[in-house]
Amino acid sequence: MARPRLTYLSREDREFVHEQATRVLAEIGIGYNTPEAIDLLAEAGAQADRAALTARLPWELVERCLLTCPHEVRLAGRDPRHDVVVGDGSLTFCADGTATYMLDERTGRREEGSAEWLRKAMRLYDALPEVDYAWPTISARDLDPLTAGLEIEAISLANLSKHVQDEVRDPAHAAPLIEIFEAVAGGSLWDRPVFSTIDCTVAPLQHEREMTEATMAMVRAGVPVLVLPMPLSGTTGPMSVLGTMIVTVAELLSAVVLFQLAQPGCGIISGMGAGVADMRSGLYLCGAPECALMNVIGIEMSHFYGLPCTASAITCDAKASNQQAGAEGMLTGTSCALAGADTILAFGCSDGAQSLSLAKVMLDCDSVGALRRLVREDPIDETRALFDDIAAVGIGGHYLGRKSTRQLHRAGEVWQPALWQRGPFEQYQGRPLAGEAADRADELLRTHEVAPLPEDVAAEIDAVIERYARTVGASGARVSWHDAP
Amino acid sequence: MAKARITYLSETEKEFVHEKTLEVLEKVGVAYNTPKAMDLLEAAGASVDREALTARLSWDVIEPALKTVPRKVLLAGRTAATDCVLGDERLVTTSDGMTTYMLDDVSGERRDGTTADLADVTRLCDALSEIDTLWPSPNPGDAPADVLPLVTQATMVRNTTKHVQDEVRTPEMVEPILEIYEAACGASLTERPCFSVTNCTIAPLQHDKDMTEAGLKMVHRGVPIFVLPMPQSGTTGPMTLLGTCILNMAELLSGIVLYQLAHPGCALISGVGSAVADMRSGGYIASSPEIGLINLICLEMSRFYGLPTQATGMSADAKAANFQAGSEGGMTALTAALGGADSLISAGGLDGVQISSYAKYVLDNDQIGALRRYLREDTVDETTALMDDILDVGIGGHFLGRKSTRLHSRSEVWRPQAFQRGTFEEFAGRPLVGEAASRAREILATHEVPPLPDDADRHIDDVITGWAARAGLRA
Repeated sequence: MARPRLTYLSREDREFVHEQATRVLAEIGIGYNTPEAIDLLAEAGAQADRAALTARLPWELVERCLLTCPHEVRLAGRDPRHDVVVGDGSLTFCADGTATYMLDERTGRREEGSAEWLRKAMRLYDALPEVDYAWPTISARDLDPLTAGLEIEAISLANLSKHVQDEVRDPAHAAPLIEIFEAVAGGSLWDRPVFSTIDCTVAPLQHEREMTEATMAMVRAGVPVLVLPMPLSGTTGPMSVLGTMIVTVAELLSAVVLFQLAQPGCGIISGMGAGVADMRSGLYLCGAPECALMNVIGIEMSHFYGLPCTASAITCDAKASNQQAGAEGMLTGTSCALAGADTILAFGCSDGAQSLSLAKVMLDCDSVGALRRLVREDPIDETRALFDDIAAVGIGGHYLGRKSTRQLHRAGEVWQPALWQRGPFEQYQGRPLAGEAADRADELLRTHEVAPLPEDVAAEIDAVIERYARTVGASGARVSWHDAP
Repeated sequence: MAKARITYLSETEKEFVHEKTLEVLEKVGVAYNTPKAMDLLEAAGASVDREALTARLSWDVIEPALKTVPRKVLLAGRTAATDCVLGDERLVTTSDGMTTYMLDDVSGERRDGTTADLADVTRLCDALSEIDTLWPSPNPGDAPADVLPLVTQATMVRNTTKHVQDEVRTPEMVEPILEIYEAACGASLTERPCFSVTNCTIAPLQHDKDMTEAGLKMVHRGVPIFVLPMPQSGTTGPMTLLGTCILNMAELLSGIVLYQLAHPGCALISGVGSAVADMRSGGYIASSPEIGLINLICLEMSRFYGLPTQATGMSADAKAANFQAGSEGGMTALTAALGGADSLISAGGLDGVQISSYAKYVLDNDQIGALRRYLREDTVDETTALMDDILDVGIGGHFLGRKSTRLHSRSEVWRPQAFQRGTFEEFAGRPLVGEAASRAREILATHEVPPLPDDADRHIDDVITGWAARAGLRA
């Protein structure tokens, strides 16, 4: 059996990155910025500074915490048929986010995201078999900021029967969200974690107080966590691919330690969020070749530590679904798939994940399909060599009439795109690809129906959100997760 | 040192492909379709059928031929500044050819290519920094058929100083074409091989009589031969990628044997032209995950035999320089480059290489630039990790003020020429494809190719008029 495999760092190189990252943890340490973390760390033997809320982590402690991390993490779907296991050898794809704007590929214009756009995007992800699970992909800017943290998840779960992954930014959201997720799961999140949380560290070498406290509460309820360090070469990371990844690994390990101390055995996924700063504009670049290399290093180092991982790919810096978008997306996408990422963030985002386009979601589905074919394990043996056919056809002639041609073509030897344009030029004249993609998305949204949340579950979500709304003093007249436009 | 690379077949699997390839050459054989090949092959111990013009090749015949193939191939430019050495670590790139049409990138209309288009595309590729060598594109459909190959080559040498690679389809064309290149380079091709010839085998398991006889003449004149098998899974090749690769390698080795027997030590390049057929339209698919995998297998097998390689990548089936084009080319080119291709056919083709697009050449130039950065071998140590900066900046803070940030930003991070980075507003109302087409026009308005010396220029005209006169055309 053969499967193409990309490697970048040698064994010695990986040892080097490991040594330097652990050196950073032991010599410089990490700003955890919350007393709750410092208590746990001090108790576990870290050299903690309670005034500065920092801790230096000896390798012994890191190693002990790595040992309690599971190698596989189940991400349950609202519908169990959509369960995903990260780290079981399969390659899965998650919808990226969180974009601020919706881009209309037909006009090139963009508008601010809304609850209605979030609803549509999640419903489209529900319809697409290429999307295994999703982030709430677009900001719902019209929701009341006081309750949006709960309502975004409610909208996502109501419009997607697959697993949802998102940040929890406020520790006050943790308890009501856990109630909502348990209602959807029909029980404990330890059994069916229908939601996993994203913990973004703050480069260089810091944790944000509120998100960290929220994440600690979530992992204690059985919610898996995607740890996502995001240093940018040149601004929050050093001006080198290698140095930026050493900072990434140090931040990753610091989170592994904290969350394993908070909840030993909790599911942790190593996420790749590092990028490059565009030194002209200061903006985040995610489609540069250096970002592809950072992902590869991140995947190799995650596997070095036995952690399942999520890579960032397919999303681009291009401003629309043009050649640049395809090129950037495939440079990172091909790299991550070949390097053995367990799951890859993809679908729909451009302009450094600031814009979401439903047309690009459709186009990215073909990129994802092509990647899946590329990394498929294929036998290299007599059944595939087709020597008998080669001998029978001999010199000249053709293979069109061979039984094997018909059989193996049907069996999927050659991947078929859904949208990409193959065939005679004339067939596609006057049919620009991005427009066709937008039409296809519209058509799916017209016809696809998502299995609704059971009525009692929806009622319970309402009750939780209403209770929370009253405690924070949200207006009764606000736009809510239920409201249709 | 860190360098990205892909491995695909295990050693046992390579042995398997090798054995199957030999079985094809021994049991089925190859049609060379020219008596000129038969003498050479028989003398070397191949079992030949002079009537059918076929031969069966055993390892005893193949192995000695492989031993005389040079590991590196000089692809000289018209001037030394554009010389490339294939097999010398650095990835060499070539523009793709030979298309029939030119695309209007803005209107989406296509039209037949002309001599003027060929001159413009060639001059554009001469200016683009990431394209090292050229295939002619588009076909100058307005040139009289009898002199078309000569008009093509004359247009190439007048519009680029870079190396040119093309087919020579008949033995009669060899002398005039070589005369054009020798005049342009001012040296014999043995000394300065500024032209290499593409030799397409015909799947399954055949050589074209005329093209092969042309190749046999050219190896004696120092012209490197790019042997390019092109079986397509499902039509001229079996339906599996593996079977198609076995056929590819059998055809390749049959070409290697012939040309090494004709001129031991002649420069040969292993080409991967195999592809898959679109079973709906019967057309050729230029770019797909399967082509990435075919490239990987054939590149690994070529290295198994110690041959320098040239793979396909970056040409697309897309109908315009759009998302699909970037995606298809991005995947295939990266896979082939990471598979260790010495050279990559990598710029310009759309619609299964039937159409050339100015915008796509400009955008592919950026795609190749990104690819080259990605492929760069980087040192892994405390200096390149900038450990001092990491330790100094510590917790919080930023790296903007660090000296290393200023010093390394240009060398560490690749910068595109046409790709749009920056704020959305900056590029609103400026579609990428239109900008790329404009950039191509700007380059064409300003880029000058050093002219040929007057006597060389006149000599090339004389070659064409002489040929036309002999062919019975009006000069």
